[in-house]
Amino acid sequence: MTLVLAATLAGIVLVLAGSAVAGTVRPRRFGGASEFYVAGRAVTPWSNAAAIGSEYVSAAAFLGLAGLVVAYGADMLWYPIGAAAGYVVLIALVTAPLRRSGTYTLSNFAEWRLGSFPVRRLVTFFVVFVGLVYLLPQIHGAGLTLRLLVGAPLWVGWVLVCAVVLVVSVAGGMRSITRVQALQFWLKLGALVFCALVLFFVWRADGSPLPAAGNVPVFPKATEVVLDTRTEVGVAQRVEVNVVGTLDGQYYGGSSVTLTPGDHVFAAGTRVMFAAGAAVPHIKGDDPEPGELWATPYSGARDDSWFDTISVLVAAVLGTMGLPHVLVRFYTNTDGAAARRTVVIVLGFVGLFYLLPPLYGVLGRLYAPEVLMTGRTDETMLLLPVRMIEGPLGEVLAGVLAAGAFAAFLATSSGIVVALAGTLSTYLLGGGVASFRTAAAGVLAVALGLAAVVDPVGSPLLVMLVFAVSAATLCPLLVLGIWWRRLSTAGVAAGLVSGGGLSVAAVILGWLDPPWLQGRWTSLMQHPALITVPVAFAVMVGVSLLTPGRVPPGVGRMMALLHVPEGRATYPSDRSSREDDRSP
Amino acid sequence: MKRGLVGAPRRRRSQVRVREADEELDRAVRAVVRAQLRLALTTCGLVAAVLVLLTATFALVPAVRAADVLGVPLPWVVLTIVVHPLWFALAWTHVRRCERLERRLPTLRSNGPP
Repeated sequence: MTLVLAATLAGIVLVLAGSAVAGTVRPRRFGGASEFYVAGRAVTPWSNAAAIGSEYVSAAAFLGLAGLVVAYGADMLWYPIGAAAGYVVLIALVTAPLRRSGTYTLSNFAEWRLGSFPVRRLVTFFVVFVGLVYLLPQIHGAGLTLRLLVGAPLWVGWVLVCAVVLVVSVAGGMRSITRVQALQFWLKLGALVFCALVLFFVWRADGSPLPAAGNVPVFPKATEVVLDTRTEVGVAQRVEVNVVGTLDGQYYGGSSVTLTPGDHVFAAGTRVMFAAGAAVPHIKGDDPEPGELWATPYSGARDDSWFDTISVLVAAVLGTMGLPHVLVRFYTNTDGAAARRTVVIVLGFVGLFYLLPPLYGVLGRLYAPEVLMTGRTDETMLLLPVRMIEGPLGEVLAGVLAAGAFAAFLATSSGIVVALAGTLSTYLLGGGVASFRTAAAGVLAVALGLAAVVDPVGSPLLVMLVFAVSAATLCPLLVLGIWWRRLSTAGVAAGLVSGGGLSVAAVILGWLDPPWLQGRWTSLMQHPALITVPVAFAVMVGVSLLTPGRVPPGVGRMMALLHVPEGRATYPSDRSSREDDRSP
Repeated sequence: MKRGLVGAPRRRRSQVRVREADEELDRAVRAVVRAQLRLALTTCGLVAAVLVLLTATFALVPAVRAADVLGVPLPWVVLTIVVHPLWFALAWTHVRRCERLERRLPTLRSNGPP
């Protein structure tokens, strides 16, 4: 394992150093606030698309999805479908008008559109909430990757990522970040595709086994599983193992033990040796499922109903709209039409990328099923090369994938940090380069603090929470703000509070899962979007209709600005030109 | 050129004429917003239709979710290979239609709302 250590370190150092250099090397037009906030509004659709693609291919999409596919199979394929569909809806409803509004962040948009400072404060709160919570899984992912491959303590990965993001965003703001993210996009795609191809041919040489054909997952060869933490597993079939450590409260020094069907508890630090062909015990809560069920949607361990899927899709599709790091990127395009074209290119990239995690997931089910026992399915992709290829090649590939994973953590977190720094610095600190830097440092400090407090196991829950909240707050604000003239400040405030409050309450309730919730309702609480989004829209529309006096003045002019292409409409009574962007 | 149509504002011009021009433009803008909204809702409707149809088919027709294509389960083929190009095509068509609409816009404005 020394080679995997060296390869990982080399790859990560390369990514970190490359990012830092690409980000800090003096850009052509360096300096002004508009460089920091919107990269001079001169980013071409292609490089902006690479940057958005880079943010989009986050730790969750990169490692998390492969892990979810390993555990739950075909049912997980809805997530990428929904997330990509979110961009189609974004392009249809939001992209061009938002760019044409000329406002820089969602908070600025809300203040401009509704002319209300309290509404702006409320929107800022939700933007910061969504951004910070979305930042956590990225930071945690970096910690987990380094722990798995190098054995470093978790905080090393956290600090590394935060330090590089800080350097890049402080050096050149949006201009630097755009360049770094575009670079990281190609790095990631290259690493993923290259490793996928190699592993694919190894799989072919192995006789192309398919998980769908097999029974419950088994270890393909003799495997030693090291359990870092106390682990409760459920065993479905009798299995012979050798245990060094504590099993069910009794110490074993390497002797053979038969695990009988039922629940068993391994103490932290226990090593368990499985023979080739042994059935994989599953972490408590997940039942082992036969290949056919795993490979078929709506069957098997995850008893998702059609409504569950629709609810997940609603959150994914509409939640994408509120991701601050994606929205802020449109302001870097030259105009609305360019912003729209950017998203089309993003969709092309995303479609290519999403071939890969399912592939890694299938291979993981065959060759790295131990993640089903440890419950650390996020590690699947990083484990695969070493499990599939004996010797140095496998270890080097693991290093390449780790470097790609780091590029993912960096790209997404820097995108969020720049978006939040832009939001907070114009809100609290009055704008300008110095305040942008201060805000970026502040956001990273808070994120590091949160990472230390929140358990990484909660990451998928947090991502779900982000999408649910964003779909029920920022999405109605954007859609109604862009298309509906009679939106009032009171309506927006009521909609935001009810949508956000209900989502948070539902997700927390689903997580606590009190007995009176009775199973059936639990999954609805975990994916509440199907209910909270219509409620948020209804409240926003209803209260707006009841408070026509609170509709801001000048809506007609705003509508012209939002929907008529740049330079094609000038109100006779308003000479202030539409080129007059309200961003710094 | 278009600027001349709407009339570059002059302080001496009477308020009434300004207001008339404003109202005329406002009607034109409403027409543009309606046209844009129609395109947007069409695209969103198509996305929703695809999602509902896909999920409903797999959830309610067991034969479809168990089918195979060249040894690979049909749901995997559809969900990983077929749907993403479909999204791309939808987005591409939407952008084309929006850009066509926006190219026609000056004519639309000079003639008033359709």
